Amino acid sequence: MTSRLHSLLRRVCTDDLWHSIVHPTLADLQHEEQCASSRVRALLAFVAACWGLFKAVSIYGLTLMARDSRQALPSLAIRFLVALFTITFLLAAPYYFSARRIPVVAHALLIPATLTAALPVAVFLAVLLHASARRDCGIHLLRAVLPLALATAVAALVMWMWIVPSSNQAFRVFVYNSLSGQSISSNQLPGGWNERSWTELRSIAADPTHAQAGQARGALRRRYVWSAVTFFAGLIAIPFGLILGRLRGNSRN
Amino acid sequence: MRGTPRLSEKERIVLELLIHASGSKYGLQLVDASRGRLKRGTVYVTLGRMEQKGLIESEQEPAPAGQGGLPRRLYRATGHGIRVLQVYDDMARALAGGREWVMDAQ
Repeated sequence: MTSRLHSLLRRVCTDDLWHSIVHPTLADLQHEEQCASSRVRALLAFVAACWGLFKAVSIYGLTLMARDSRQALPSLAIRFLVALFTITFLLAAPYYFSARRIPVVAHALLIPATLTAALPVAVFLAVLLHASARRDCGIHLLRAVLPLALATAVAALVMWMWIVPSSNQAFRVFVYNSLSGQSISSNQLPGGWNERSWTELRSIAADPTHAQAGQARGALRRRYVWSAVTFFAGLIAIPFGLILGRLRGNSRN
Repeated sequence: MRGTPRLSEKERIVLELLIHASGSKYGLQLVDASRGRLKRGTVYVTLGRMEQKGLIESEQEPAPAGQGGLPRRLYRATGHGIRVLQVYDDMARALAGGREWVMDAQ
């Protein structure tokens, strides 16, 4: 078993990982197996060594991820923020300039909804520009991009589940009050699917007797998918960025 | 890197074990000798980090003759590692002495 594991891992591990962690662990494992008094003890040693190896490789991967992220994150973050600001402005500006008489507060309440579209595009553009400008190999880039993609996906999830529903509802209340000249609260105006938070949707979806349980499940699923899109936008941008970088390099030559 | 050496708890345990054993040890021997303070999953990550810091050095033992086994890696403390541990021990003693002095004064 150990020799099979050895030949498999030798193919997939980097030299550094192999020499610092995998090789010493496998050598120790082989020694333990040779010293084991029974097959059961040898099997137990194999399981313990595999678990130890898994933990060691995970820690090693996290350490590398932290190192690569520390180096790349400032450049990625600046590109991401510039892209996010630009895209949000481009999406929100036409509405603002075409309806200047509407108070700025109403426009501001629509910005969270705009951000849900701007976030995945900004992540994609930031990673694309970063990857095309640097000469890192794929794995370094992946380790640097993963934290940004994860953080933005979490931000998108929070936007979709809580911030967008409440800002949508606040916008509706604002418009209703402005048009009717009344002053009603958010609770008095019934909201649609886009104005319901994660908590409300979950409670409807969990109730099998509720007539709209299926629709609530569908709405929740859509929001999860859109949050995941933000994460995958960062990952998908890596190969495109690398190709773009290579093309730019070729055109310079 | 060697200007301000930092020693984590695990690194201190590894250095103590290597120095007091007055010789080289395998990773698994360190785990056994530490009585649960070092784990299999973290010992090689710690040893790799310490090697980068220059606190320890390692060499691969010659492959056993006639057996097709993997050669094991032996670790030993460097002079720098020994000095760093001495400084940490002195510092710990000084701090403990200072604490006693303050308690006596009170």
